[in-house]
Amino acid sequence: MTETLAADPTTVTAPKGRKPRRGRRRLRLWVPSGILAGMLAAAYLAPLPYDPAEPLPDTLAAPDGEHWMGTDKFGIDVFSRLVASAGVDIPLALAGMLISLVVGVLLGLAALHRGPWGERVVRALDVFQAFPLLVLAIALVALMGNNIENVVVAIAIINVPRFVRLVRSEGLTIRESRYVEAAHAIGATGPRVMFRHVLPNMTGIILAQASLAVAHSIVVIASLSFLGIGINAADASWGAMIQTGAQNMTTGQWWVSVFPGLAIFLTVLCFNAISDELQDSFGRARQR
Amino acid sequence: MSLLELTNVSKEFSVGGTTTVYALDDVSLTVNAGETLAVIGESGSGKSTLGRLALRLIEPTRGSVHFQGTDMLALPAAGLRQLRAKAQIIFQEPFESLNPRMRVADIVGEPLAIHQPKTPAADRRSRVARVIDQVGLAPEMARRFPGELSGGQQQRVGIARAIVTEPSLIVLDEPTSSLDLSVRAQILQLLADLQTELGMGYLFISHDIHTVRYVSDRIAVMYRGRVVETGPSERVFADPQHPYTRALLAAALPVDPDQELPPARLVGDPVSPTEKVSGCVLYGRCPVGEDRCVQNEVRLTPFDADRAVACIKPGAPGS
Repeated sequence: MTETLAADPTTVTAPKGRKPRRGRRRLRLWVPSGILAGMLAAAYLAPLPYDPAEPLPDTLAAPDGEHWMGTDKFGIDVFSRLVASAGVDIPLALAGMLISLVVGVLLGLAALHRGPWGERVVRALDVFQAFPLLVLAIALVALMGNNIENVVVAIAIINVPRFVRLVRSEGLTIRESRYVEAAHAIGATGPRVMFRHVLPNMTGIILAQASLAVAHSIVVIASLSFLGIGINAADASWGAMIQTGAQNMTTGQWWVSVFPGLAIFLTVLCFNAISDELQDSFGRARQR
Repeated sequence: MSLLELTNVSKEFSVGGTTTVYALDDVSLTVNAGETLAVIGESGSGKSTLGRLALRLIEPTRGSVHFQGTDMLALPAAGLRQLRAKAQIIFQEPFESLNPRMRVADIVGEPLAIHQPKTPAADRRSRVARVIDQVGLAPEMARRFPGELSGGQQQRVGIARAIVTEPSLIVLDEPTSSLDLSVRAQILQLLADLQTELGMGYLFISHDIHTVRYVSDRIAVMYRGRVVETGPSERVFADPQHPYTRALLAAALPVDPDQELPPARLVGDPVSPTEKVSGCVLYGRCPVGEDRCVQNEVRLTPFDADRAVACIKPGAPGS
C-alpha cells in the first residue's frame, strides 16, 4: 500500500519550495483580471483615435501608424471599433452569466431537496443539455427577435444548467459533511444550513464556473453576431467585425477579421485563466 | 427522572435496498444528570449510531428516546430544534465538524444566534468570549478560521460550541481519538472540569479502555449492536462478568512494556453486521459458549443491584 502511494505523484505532498508562492498565485489571478478591466476601461473611458461607427474614405487600409489595425471595407478604423466592441460584448456576457448564476444556484439548491424532484430536475437538464447549446441560442434569439435583451436572455438560459448541476453535485457532498451534521445538531433550520453552511463552501467553485460561463458566452455572442442574428449590426461587436472582414480574408486583407478574432481569443483566455486559478486556490483551501 | 433514557432502541440501515445492517439491536440505556456514561465497544459495534440516535440526529427503527422526560421521537421539527440547545454533541473529527468558512467566534456564537435571537448581539458576543476563554482558547483565536488552528484547539472550539447554550447533556463521540496523546489528556481534563462546573451529563463514546476508565462513572459495553454489560465502571473494571468485557479488558495493553500479555481470549472474527443474530452475539467466538447460547435469546439481565450482563453464565470461571 505504501509503495503504491509513493509511486503515485498526486498523493505525495509537493515539497515546500516547489509550491507556487502566494505572490505568484496572486499574479495569476490579477494579470488576466487586469487585462479585462483594462479592456473595459478603454472601451468606456479612453479617447478612441477614430469614431468606431463613422466610415472614412480610406477603405481597407493596411495596418500602419495612422490606422493601427487598418480599416475595413466601409473605411471604419478597426482598432477603434475593436476597443468599442469590448464595451458591448463583455458586459453582455457578464450580464447573461449573472442571471444564469442566480437562477442556476437557486434551482441547484432547490434540486437538493430530498425526494424525487431533485432527480427529475437533473434528468430534465440532461435532455436540455443534449441539445447543442449554440443552436439553442440561435433558435432562442431567432424566436424572440434579435435585440440586446434577448441575447442576454439566451446567454442566461444556455448557462443555467451548468450552475444547477454544479450546485447540486457539490451540495450533495457538502450535505454529508460533518459540519452540516453539526449545524443540524445545534438546531439550525433548513434554510440556515443551506445558506450559512452549504452555499458558502461552494462559492469558490461557483466563481470558477462563472468565469468559464463568461468565456463561453463571449464565444456564443460572437457567433450570434457573426451570423448576423445577435446584436443590431450597427452596434460594435467582435463577431460582426469578423463577419465584415470574412470576405476580405481571401483577397489578403487579413487584418479586418484577425484582430477581433485575437480580441475574442484574449478575452476567453483571460476568463479561463481566472477560472483555473480560482479552482486551484479553492482546491488548496479545501485540502488545508 | 433520568436525563436521557433510551428504551429498546433498534436501528437497521438498508444498504443498496437488498442488505440490511443491524446497527443496534434492542438497546436500553440511561444517563443521569451530572454523570458520565461511557459506551465502549470496537468499531462497528454501533456506538456512534447510538450517540446520534440519542439526539435524534438519525431516527431509530424501533424503540423510544426520552430526554428529560420528553419523548424526543414525538417532537415536531421545531420542538426538536428548540431542545437541541439542551442536548449537544462533540464529534470525533474536530476539523471536519467545523465549517471551514466561518470564524471561531461565529461558530461558537451560532447556537446562540439560533436559540437566543432576541438577546442583544453585544451580550451574545461577550458570552462567546467567555466560553472561548472557558475552554482555554486565547481571545485572539476568535477571529481565526478552523484551518488555522491545531487539532486540540479545533476540538476546544467544538467543545465551546457545544457548551455555549448551557446544555444538560452532551454526547461525546470519541472526542479525543483523533488527537495526539499529549493533547488528549488536556481535553479530557477540560471535559471533566466543565462537567464539574456545569453539571452536564455525558454520554461518552469511546473504543479506548484507558480513556473510559479515566472519565466514566458508569459503563456500557457494546458488541455487535447490543449492550452486553453495564454497571459502575469501577466494578466492571475490577470484576467483569461478560466474556466479551473480560476479553476487552485483557486486550488493553499494560503500561509496563515488559509485562507478558495474556493470550487472546476470543477466537475468530465478529459475525457480519448484516446477519440477524438469534441467541448470543458472541457465540462462536466465546471461550465459554455452549449450545443453549444460540437456542435461546440472550438478553441483558440484572446481575446485581446496579449491574446487568447479557450472558447465561456470567463470570464463568473458564473465561
